[in-house]
Amino acid sequence: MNDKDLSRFLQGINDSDDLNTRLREVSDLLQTLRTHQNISINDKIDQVSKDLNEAFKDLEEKKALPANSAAQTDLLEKIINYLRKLPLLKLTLAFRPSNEFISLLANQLSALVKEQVVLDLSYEERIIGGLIIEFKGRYHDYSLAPKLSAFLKQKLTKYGAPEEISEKL
Amino acid sequence: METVLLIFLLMVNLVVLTLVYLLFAKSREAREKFNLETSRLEQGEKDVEALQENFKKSLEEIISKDREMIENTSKAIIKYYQDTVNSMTQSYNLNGQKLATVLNQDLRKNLDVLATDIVKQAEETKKVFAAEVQKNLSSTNKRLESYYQERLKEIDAQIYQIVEEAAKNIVAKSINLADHQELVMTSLEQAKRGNFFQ
Repeated sequence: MNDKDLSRFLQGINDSDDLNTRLREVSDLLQTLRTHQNISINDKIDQVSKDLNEAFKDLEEKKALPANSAAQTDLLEKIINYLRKLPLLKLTLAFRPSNEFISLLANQLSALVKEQVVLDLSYEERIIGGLIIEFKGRYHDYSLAPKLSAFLKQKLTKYGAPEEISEKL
Repeated sequence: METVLLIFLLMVNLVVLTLVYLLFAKSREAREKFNLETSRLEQGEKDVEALQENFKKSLEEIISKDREMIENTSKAIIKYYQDTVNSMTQSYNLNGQKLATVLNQDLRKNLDVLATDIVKQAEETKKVFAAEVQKNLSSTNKRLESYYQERLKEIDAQIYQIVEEAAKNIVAKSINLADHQELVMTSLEQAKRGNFFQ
């Protein structure tokens, strides 16, 4: 089974919270299969989340879901490893976005970096608006805070504030 | 028989009477001897009393003489010491007066010199002190001015910081959800144009 087949298991994962939920779900299933050798993925398929259920059913339709217990265990381990290797893209926002907006962002950013990324989101009001982005060791502040500070510095200097004071802003 | 018995009784009585008489005679002799001894003892006691009286008299005389001699000697010694002390006091007073006169003269001279020195020294101290005060005053004024300027700068900085915080708060509160989303998309566009993802 290649990464293309496994990418089906990324459905519904946009940020690190989604990723952790999916990892916990697959790990629990793996633990059940290891503990009870007479139980298979098919026995549990209706008890997992909708996205995971659809992913397994998709494999089943493609005749790609292994039948024996050991092969199913290997499949679950591969899924876990694949999910753990997904690249994280850290975004700092000034507001808490809706799930739809997070999904939109995740799709756009995955298209921009040409690979599936998982958003690691944080929220800081001090940045006012826009975003701060960190990805693969690179960092850039695209927020409004430095722009507003520059604007205020310009205005305050114009109205007589000493240079060293406006420098602090 | 009765006669014989009477004679015998008479003889016995005579014997008894003789014995009584002998005893009486012996007793009188012993009393006389006792009286003689007693009178001797009395005489001896009288002699002893006389001797004691004589001794007492002699002793009193001796004591009286000694006391007189001691009193005289004591008086002489006291007189000697009084004379000596008087003489020494007179001498001391005389010398003391001389010394006091000399000391007074020297003291006056020294006091005059000292007073002059003190006045001079006080004036010098006053000058030095005034100069020091002036110097410190000038330094303190400079430090106060510096402190005043620094405080003004700090207050200015705080005012501008408040202005900045207020401006940021006003801007932040004026942005609604749609604006935030638009700002994010604009930022992504900037990142794309700035080749952040390449």
